[in-house]
Amino acid sequence: MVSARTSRPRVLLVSANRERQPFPVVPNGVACVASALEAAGHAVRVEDLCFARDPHLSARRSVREFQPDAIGISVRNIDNSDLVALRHYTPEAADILNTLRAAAPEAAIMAGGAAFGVAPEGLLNALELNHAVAGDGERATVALVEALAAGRTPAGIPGVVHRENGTVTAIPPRGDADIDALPAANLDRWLNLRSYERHGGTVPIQTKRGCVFKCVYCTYLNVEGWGYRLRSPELVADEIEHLYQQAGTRHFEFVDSTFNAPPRHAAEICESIIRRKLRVQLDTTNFTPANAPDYLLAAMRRAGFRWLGITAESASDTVLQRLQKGFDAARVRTVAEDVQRAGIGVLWVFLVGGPGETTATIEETLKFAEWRLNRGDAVYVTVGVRVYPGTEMRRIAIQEGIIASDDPLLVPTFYMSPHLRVEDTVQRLRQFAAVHPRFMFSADSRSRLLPYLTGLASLLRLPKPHWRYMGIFQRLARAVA
Amino acid sequence: MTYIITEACIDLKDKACVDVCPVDCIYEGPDQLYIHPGECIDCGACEPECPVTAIFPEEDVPVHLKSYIKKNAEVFESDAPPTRPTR
Repeated sequence: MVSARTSRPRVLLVSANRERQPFPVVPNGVACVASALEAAGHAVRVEDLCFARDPHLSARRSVREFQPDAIGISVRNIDNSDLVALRHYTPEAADILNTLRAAAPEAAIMAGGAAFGVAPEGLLNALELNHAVAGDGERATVALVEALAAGRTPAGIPGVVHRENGTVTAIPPRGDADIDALPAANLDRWLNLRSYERHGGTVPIQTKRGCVFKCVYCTYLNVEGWGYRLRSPELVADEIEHLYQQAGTRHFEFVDSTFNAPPRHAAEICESIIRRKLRVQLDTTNFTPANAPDYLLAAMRRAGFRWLGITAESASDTVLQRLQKGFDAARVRTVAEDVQRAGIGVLWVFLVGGPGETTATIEETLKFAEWRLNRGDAVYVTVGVRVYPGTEMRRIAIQEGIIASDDPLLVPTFYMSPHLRVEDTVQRLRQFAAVHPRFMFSADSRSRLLPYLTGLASLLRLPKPHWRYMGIFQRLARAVA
Repeated sequence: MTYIITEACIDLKDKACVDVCPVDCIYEGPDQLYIHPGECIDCGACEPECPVTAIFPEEDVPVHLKSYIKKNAEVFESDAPPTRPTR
């Protein structure tokens, strides 16, 4: 498959994610892999289809212009994990793959992205692929490209899922212990960050990989593994400073499993940003109430946090315990007060319908939500828990007879507490949303008008994060509709 | 269940465990580090970080080190409880 022009294969990376609601997400992983391939001496091109008018046309043009020897397609999510406003992304990725295969019949085709960490073998089969990377993409993709170019079998490369003679083998990802040694993502080298910023998106920064929490529904352990692999705080600040100076980025979002765990690491990153006197705005939607010490909140505020998203999921002890969140409702209330005292506003994220949820526990959460809404915070709620492979939620769903044990879970499947009816739950949440402007219900946040409203917010240079205006946007969208 | 820091930590206090604890529940006493049993969320992040294998899940503490379970619990009730670790 090696091009006659160079001794090393030319690699085209295609980001297939086109979801723009509520905001488009910068494909950080694609940039990480592109930088790793380039550092290994390959000619690399990234085709980001997020804003393409016709993704198939863009994909074909990219192939024609770049003449790749290998093509890697990135699949971020299988679906949007939303029972009430479901979007399934795999069929769209399959269509793009077919276009790429037809445009470059000689090129080796491979895939990667977070979705492959969640369901490596299932997706390989569903997308009719022979090679994919699951978990950390940098070293595995380089090794896979080089094995294919040399005509060697990629079987045995850590993190590579591979089909040979009809048999699929998946070698678990190695997970580089020292992620500081990996090439920097260089987001501005590969992606048009301005497009994302114009559409309300933020520029992602990763401060670590891995997680140690045990939330029953979460796929982070599949994608990044157990335990923390921390980036040097100075390198994180270097990345922010580079984008600040070279790309003019002012708003950054930390996209770790949980930004504030371990808290000392998060605080050191904030201190490094403060020392550099960067006038940046920071936020994260991955903040756990498990621990929010005052020293961290103070450092966050001084570094540039004005808002953050707290993934409490519930304000009921019964539900928090069943979700194995690692904190209780009293802790959630304490953190709410501590964060407010630090001068930081909050988007509270709740997940309704999990194990143990009843109408009474929903009311506990809504009571908490009302308290926070009255103090200026915002709330975002989804209904139903997506059951993913390899999670504790899958075990619970099998045990309760909701799914079969051989279900590959590629078709979106949800757990809904047997004590609830979806329609009644949705009605109650809509009723609550009707009288609370900053209460966002996921089912109502998919209006076709919303992207235009967030675009308008960018045009008017309204301070981000734009989700804090989402309640108003939703009302406007409903009024126009 | 919680995790227990045992004998091998005495006078060493490496603190690699402190850096990865997601909830800041590891404290420093004059002789060794201690895990607050009421604050530990049982994640286990500290265990593989310890260079001298001093940390065990409570149920797996070796028999000859069982006294450290009581020591870890009681030290936080004492008149001089452990404090936030220094760097």
